[in-house]
Amino acid sequence: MNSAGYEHDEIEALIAADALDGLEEADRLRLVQIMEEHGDECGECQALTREYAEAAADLASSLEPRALPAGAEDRLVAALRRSPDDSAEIVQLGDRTQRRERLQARAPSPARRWVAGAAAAALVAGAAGSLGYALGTRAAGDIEQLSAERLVAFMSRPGTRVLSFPPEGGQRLAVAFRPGEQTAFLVASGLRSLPNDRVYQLWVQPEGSTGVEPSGTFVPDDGTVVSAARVPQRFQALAVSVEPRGGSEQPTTEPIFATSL
Amino acid sequence: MPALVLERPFVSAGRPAGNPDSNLVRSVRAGDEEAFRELFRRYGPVAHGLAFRLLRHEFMAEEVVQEVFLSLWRNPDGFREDRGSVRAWLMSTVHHKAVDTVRREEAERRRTRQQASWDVELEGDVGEAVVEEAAAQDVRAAVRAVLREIPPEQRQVLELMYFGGNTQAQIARDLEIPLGTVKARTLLGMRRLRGLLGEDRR
Repeated sequence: MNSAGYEHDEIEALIAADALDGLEEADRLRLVQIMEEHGDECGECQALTREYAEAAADLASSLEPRALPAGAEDRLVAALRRSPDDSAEIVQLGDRTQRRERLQARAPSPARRWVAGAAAAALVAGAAGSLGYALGTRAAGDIEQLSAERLVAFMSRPGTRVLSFPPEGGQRLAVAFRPGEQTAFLVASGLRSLPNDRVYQLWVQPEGSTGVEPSGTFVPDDGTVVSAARVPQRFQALAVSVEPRGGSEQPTTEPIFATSL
Repeated sequence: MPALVLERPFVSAGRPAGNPDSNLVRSVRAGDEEAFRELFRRYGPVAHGLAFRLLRHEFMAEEVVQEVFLSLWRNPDGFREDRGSVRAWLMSTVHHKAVDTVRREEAERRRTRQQASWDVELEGDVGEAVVEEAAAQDVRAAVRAVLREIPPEQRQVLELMYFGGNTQAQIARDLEIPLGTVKARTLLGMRRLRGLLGEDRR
């Protein structure tokens, strides 16, 4: 044990698990504390951090590489030519040592909220063309714009259908999907805020089934949502209920939105 | 112990062994788009494979890769040569981002466990096939061979953690074994991985 009261075996165990993003929050905080008090000056700890990061990256290298969609590189370069507007987020995506000091996600930027609002408003109105126009005329965060561009690309492919839920007191919600495929986009506008311990949850009833399956939770940002979702290749109905944060295996409250094909 | 930080085109996608990664990052700092493209070609497909393995969703996986590479462009100083390789930095960031996404969506996690019935085909306008160097394929084969040398119970924990996005406590619950056992297997497995691949690099 060293003068600060740490066993290097304990530190190594924490560093190794952290390289795999496998620590519980309490253990991560313990590692942050140790590294702040001891690790930054310790060559052995720094070497362990480096070497376990390399070992974790080796695990990634054991996977088959996966081609990115055609044009992804050009879209990315086009995005980086636009002016950066959210450098705070970028620092958060820095190396592991920096990340340890930033344990929680940031609040969405105004640009993100604006794009989400534009996308939601356009899609619930069934007007992808309006969305493209709106995005082209306002500044937006690069990431958010890329997401919105993918939504537009999704909408523009043949066979895309939009299933709208009946409006409920100014709350609008719709799901864009393509029969036979599993990717869908959920968009909403005017959704009411929920207490911190509650989320909206999307439910899907697969074709030929009498039960429903969870299809993701979402929290509106200024009333709006634009979120990729996964659905069965064939389904017959969708519903949304309010559930405890983290979602439920089965609905625990009555649906506030429901619609069927 | 010595720090083993190698620069190499690990499992690259169709590039000749050329400009070292750290040189490319220096060029990115100077605003060199070609250097950025080179890094994207070099590591984008591996990053995408990793993100997809965790998220099982084409759009979300692509989004994670985009975010990470945009972060590289906007803040290349986030990479510190004294803290490891470009490859490790990128993969660590991709992994962390993807795991964050998975954990924010507990329902998503439950769906992933139902993957067998849903994972028929995740569509998407995926581009041309990844063309790899033979050397990159050799590297992947070598890593897989090393993984096979790790005792199965240790390898299982590493895989559930890294590819499943699970924490040690979640793994203990799922496998119905003590948390201390999971922690011990993690450390032993990672030591073996580090040691075996370290030898391979020398």
